[in-house]
Amino acid sequence: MSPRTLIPPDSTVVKAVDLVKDYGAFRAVDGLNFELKAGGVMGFLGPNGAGKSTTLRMLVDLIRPSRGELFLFGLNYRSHRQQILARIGCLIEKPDFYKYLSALQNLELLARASGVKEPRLRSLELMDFVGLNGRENDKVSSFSHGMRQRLGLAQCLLHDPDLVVLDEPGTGLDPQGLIDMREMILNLNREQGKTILLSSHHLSEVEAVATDLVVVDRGRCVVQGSAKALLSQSERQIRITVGRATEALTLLNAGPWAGGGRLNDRGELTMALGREEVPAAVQFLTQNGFEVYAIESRQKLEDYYMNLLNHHQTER
Amino acid sequence: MWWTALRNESVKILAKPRSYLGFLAITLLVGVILLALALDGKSYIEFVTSSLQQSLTVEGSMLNGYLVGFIVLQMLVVHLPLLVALVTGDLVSGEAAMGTLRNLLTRPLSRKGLLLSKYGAAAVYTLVLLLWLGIMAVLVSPWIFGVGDLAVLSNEGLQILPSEEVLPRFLQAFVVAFAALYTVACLSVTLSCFADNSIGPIVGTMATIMVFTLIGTLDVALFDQVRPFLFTTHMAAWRSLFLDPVPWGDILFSMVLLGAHWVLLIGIGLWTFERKDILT
Repeated sequence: MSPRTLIPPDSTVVKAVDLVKDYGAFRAVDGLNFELKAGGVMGFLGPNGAGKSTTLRMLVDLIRPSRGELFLFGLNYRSHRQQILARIGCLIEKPDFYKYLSALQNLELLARASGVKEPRLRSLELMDFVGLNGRENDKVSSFSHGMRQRLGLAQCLLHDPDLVVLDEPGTGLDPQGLIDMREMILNLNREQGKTILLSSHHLSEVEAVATDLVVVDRGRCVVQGSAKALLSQSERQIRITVGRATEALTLLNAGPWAGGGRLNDRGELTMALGREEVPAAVQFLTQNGFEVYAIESRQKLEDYYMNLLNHHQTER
Repeated sequence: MWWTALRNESVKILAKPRSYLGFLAITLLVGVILLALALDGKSYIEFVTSSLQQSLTVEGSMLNGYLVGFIVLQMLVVHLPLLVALVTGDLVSGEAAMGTLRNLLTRPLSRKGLLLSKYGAAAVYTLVLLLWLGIMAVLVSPWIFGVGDLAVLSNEGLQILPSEEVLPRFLQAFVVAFAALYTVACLSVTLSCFADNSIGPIVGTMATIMVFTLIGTLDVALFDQVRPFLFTTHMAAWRSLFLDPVPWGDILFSMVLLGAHWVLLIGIGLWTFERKDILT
């Protein structure tokens, strides 16, 4: 690996300026702007089709932007492609490997392509880091999805990158696998000082590790900022466990809290309410024959994210 | 870095079962030809030389290892493009289909360097496949049938090459055959840059060869102007090395034209690959 300069803390690692990507008449990314500072873990969120994967592919030069500028470590791909890629490791979408080669052969091959001086040693070291020691000589075709995800993380660390781009690293992992992946991401960030850009639909996983958030929708940045600041600015969510939740939501939408409630993926009613509004809401529900079983006040990324997107999509 | 990339490409070709199909096919086909000639080679030679039997008398047997090697080459060189395209047509598009192209293109290696390493690996594979055919044709055949003068039928009639001249001519013929086959390899790698599955480039390569061969065969005035510039016209240029005198001018033209095809095809491949969006 070639020697490189260390990144000063708080310096900008990624800067996207008016990034546009068109596929024929379809605009996948539409003037996207965001910044990622060194040393952070950025949660890159958005619904399906929001342009996340296209943006991440542009970040690692798999796709060329139609317009706009992209700076990584202050450089752009037009003039410094190899220097930039020497400092980025990525796992884009799903981990794909040569199925006819063993896990170690796959890593060695990619390590050589990355210019690693001792490819075998480095590959063995990373197989150990991701918990695949003992499976070095097994063909990748015999690996489960979770093992391939771990191997995918190993391949993106081969050349000791400064920036790690992870696109859905938790897909297909069992609960233990998700916990392990979270621990590894935290280790990379806190112990090894790597800057992480993490795109995931597992919002609880993003919440556990992200220091910064970018939410995109329809190719545009909806919001960007520190995770802590964004969540503290958001309205407190009240989760109400109520019988016949769908009917309760219909009633609320027709009444004084129209548009304030929604059903989460577990079928529970959640509402953005001020503390003083809670008794009135509960009374309203009980007076209309609904049984309220539990009330929980919380400030979760999932609620923040869903409310943000609901508002954004309503505005558009 | 280019050498490292070439090494990586070679490792992948060596590990892929598909790469050995060509060697297996050549071994089987040559085995069948050798067996047929060993059992009934005399009748075959009599059939081929039947038109000449009234005008000359042959003492001894024309059937020897060199003639068998020549027959093997003549029969098999037409099959080699498919065997080459099976592997080289998969070099880029196969990786795109598997998703491994993403892993490679996010390494600190230029796209140009990566693609050139694939053209390099295609050259190595073509050369090794041709060498295998050479070993089977020029080393195994004489071992079974013995050596002797080589009788070659041409437009001029029957030409006899003394046995001491035959091996150098085979060697030169392999160089020319390589130039032709590598053009096929370049075509399939280039087509591979446009596709995300390996069937398209392989079928595309064979379809191009068929169409160009048809144009070269049809006796139509319209095609007379283009015929000399089609690479398929020069696929059998290696045979000229067994004529006496050797038409060096024609062979040089063939080599230059095939070389121009390499440059053109590699150029198109590089231009396309540099701009390709990797969506798989």
